Amino acid sequence: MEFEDVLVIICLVVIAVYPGLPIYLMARARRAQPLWHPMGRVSELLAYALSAPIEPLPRRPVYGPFSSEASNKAIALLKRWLSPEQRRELEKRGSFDVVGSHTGRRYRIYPGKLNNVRILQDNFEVAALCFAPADAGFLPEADIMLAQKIALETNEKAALKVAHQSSRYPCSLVL
Amino acid sequence: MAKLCVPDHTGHKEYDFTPNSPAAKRAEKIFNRLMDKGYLGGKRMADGSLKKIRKFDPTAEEIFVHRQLVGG
Repeated sequence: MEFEDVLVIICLVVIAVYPGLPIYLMARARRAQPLWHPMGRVSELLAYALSAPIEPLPRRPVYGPFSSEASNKAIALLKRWLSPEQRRELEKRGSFDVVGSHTGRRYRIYPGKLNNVRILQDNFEVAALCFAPADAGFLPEADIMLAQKIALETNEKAALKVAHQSSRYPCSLVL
Repeated sequence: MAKLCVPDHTGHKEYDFTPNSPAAKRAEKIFNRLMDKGYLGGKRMADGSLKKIRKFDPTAEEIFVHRQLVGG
């Protein structure tokens, strides 16, 4: 029996008696590495990544205007206020048209909070309008769309007075 | 049953009422308080027509109020 064989036997006996020893030794070896050594950090992260159990990331429950419950509630309300034709348009293409109460001009309201209203001319979008309730940031999109629809269909002048026109559209029809 | 809808971060709050009932008085009180704060109101009648309102209408099918409009 040679010296190496004796060493192997001693190691096996030690491991059999104290199975945690290799882990302890590896941890000590990791700690012994200088902290600034980049490979030390990489190996530590790698060891952690390989040893840590894979668990799903904790998900916080979502409340407020971005929760599906608030959105569904607002969409149901919007649909109650839409005419049958507008409801069909919303379901078919995701937007609906309204007619201004003063000018008789047609507008298209898209889902969104900003810049989501378009002025139509011969069924072409020629300008974009941006107006919304003052607390739009806290409201679901459908509530904002409903406020825009009511404003254009019942008080178009007041809506146009506050609305900003998008510079993406060169045509200045409104202001 | 008629409804007063006030949009908020949960979608909206609904206050159900029938004409000449305590619930209608409560809804009217809420409506007036919001109008004083500068809210705008619209009503939907049973035939589907919409109208801008400044005064509470207990005969409306549904009333929707929202904060004043601002340009974005």
